[in-house]
Amino acid sequence: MRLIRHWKPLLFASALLTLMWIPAVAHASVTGGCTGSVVIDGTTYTPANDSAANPIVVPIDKSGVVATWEGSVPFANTNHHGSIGIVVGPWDINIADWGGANPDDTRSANGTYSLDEFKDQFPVAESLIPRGLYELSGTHTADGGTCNAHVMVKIEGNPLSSPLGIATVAGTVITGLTLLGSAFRKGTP
Amino acid sequence: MKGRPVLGIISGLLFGLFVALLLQQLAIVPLTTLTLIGLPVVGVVLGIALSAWAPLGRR
Repeated sequence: MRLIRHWKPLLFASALLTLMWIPAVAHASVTGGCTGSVVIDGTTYTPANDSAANPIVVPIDKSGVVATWEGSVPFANTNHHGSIGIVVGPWDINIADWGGANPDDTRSANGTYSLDEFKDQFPVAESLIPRGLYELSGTHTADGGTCNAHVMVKIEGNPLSSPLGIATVAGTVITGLTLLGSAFRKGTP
Repeated sequence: MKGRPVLGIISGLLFGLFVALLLQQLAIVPLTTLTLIGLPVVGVVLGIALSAWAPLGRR
């Protein structure tokens, strides 16, 4: 019964432990033997850049940046298809997909991608593009096998420079103060 | 309940959501299931606990 008497501190301790545990479990990985790399603004990123502490950095405020990429699969790549999406909680929001018969069984590819083109895909001005850390989830399946990958992408920039960032900080402060208000005894003005 | 449980539940839920968004915006943690669902749940629990305890105000 001692435990029940001390439920309040236990509850707070478990809430704090949950908060502390969350950054530790954020992770990423590549399975299936696929490899790839991308060079952005002079920095080479590989599957090793797969954690919140070591993400692929996208310098959104710079213009004219071109990403040079290459990738390969270790298995027969005929009749392939795949997709990539942004992880938002338990959901994956699809942002791109591909597929084809690939009768020549091409197993590697490379190319370039303009970040200005990436920015143009947003229906808002560059300054309104949400900054922060994103987990991308992708899959590639062909006759010879399947690869799955999770990578972390950081859209670089001051979060307070975007309206979403300002609204997030304001919302956190306001709801935090309101939460504190629930701790006042009833009848307190 | 000595405090304000309804206020605690609603504000706790929203506080958890905003903290999850803030952590994402500050590039600390992405919006995973743990943050987007877990933090609001923690916020609700915190709101219920605070309203049950109600350490502030008149005695």
